[in-house]
Amino acid sequence: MRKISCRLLTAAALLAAAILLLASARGGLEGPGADVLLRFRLFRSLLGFLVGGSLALSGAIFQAVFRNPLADPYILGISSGAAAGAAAVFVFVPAGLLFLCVPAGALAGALATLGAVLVISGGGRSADRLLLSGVVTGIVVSSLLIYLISLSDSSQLAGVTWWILGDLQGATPALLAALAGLAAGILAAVQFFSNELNALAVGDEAAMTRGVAVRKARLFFVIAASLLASSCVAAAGIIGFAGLVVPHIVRLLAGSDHRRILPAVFLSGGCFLQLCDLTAVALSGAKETPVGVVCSCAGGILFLVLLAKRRRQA
Amino acid sequence: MNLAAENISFAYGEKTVIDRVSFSLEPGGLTFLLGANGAGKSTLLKILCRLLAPAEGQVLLDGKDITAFSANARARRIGVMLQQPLPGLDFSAEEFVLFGRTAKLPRLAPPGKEDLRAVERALDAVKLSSAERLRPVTRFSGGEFQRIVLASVLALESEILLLDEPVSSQDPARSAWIFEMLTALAAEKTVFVISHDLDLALRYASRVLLLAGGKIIADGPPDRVMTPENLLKLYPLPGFTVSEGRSFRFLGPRHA
Repeated sequence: MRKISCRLLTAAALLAAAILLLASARGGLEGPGADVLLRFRLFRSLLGFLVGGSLALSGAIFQAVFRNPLADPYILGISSGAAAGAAAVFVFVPAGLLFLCVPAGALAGALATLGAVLVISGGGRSADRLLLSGVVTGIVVSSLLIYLISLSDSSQLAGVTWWILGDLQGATPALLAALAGLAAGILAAVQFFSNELNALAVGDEAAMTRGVAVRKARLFFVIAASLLASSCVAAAGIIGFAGLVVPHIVRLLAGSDHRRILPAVFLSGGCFLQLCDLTAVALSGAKETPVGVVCSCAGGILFLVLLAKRRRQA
Repeated sequence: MNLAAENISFAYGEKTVIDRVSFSLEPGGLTFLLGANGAGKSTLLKILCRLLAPAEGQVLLDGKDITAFSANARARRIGVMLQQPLPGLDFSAEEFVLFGRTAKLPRLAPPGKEDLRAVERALDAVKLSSAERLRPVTRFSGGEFQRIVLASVLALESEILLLDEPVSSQDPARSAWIFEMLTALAAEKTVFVISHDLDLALRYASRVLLLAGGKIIADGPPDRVMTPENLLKLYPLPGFTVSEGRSFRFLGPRHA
């Protein structure tokens, strides 16, 4: 199949992101407090864009490093670590400080998990060892999460559950600026080393024969992708499937050369989550529908469609 | 354009697989390395391109220790074809071949005209049609994928080619034309080939190295080196003999 131009896809995704941002601000903005509501909606849409883009970029990096199309941003147990960190905050920190401490706890949990995975795997000596270390660490940290849940009362449990479902309501200018800075920095760095990412995706020995310092390169990409995933879960909880499905869709449309597709992956991931959030808002009645639910549902359906398409082509 | 091994030794744990081996490779014809399974052929090739570090000895590139060159400088000069598993991601054949030029590709810029021409020439050399070039590599047969891997090495347009069983999955006709093409390349490049096919070595090699017991037991033109006695030392199978004629046949006790 002849692929579409990556520049065209990038431009289309950028345009779609802008349209979705404007769409998020439409309707019900009359009367007092309209400007506050407008700011809230715009910030929320921007947070969706940054989180969706970062998750998609993280997923694309992990899929290349592990040469596994089923890899996602949480493959090394980052989400379990973040959830355990957030749960610890809900259980042990007074309710008045939750707003500040939950993201910090989630980030600490995610980074501690990443550190444990890197130590256990011997600094990412091989992709298989890294993957296995991630799976094992994820299982251990999940058991810690279950233990923390067993300690929680009903209001704490509700807080943990809502956080795990993922939501974008906590957007503030400072958070948006931090996420945007991190995402832009990592996107630029990974783009600069995208030749190395392609070589790793082909195989370790092949990459070495092409002049790539495989162990250092793998460590760099794993840390970059994990930082993206950690920042996302700290800001918006666990949002599944965006990081798995979006890279597949972009590769299907524009090819698999990471030198070309990374910006398109980021922008498409951003649009995907913005769209999921608009859908979640539209579906919400008296109680808000969590964006994580819509994202997992839409991502799951898209993934099934991709699988069916692959089966037909095979 | 000279690659040389000087007193190279290598061991996996206690087992020595390469024992003080010395030889040099130059352009002007195909050099074949023959040896039994597990004799250390692939290990020797990986030492030559510095994928493995020898326990003793050194590899010289144009008379200089190969470790004096950066990884990128080595990769630009030595194209290496190893046994390559299918990648997990759906790269197109064209993309996969372009990645063979990783060491020469620019950063933060699309591939230059010279890069695209090199990919075109490599794909032409392995006779991959225009329509097939856009197909994902995961949808090719094993033999077709092996030719794409060879194309990715050719696309580098390096001075030295080290090829580990480049036609092991090819039919006889394709094996022959691939070796016709490699023979033409070897006029100007250093081409070193590991193979188990004695007939191909007899037809296309200008020089044959026989590796057994960790040592080069014979080195020279194929008609002088590939004798039944040497081949039985190379592939020792109790009760077997070698028939010599237009091709070599290993004959078991029932057929001897």
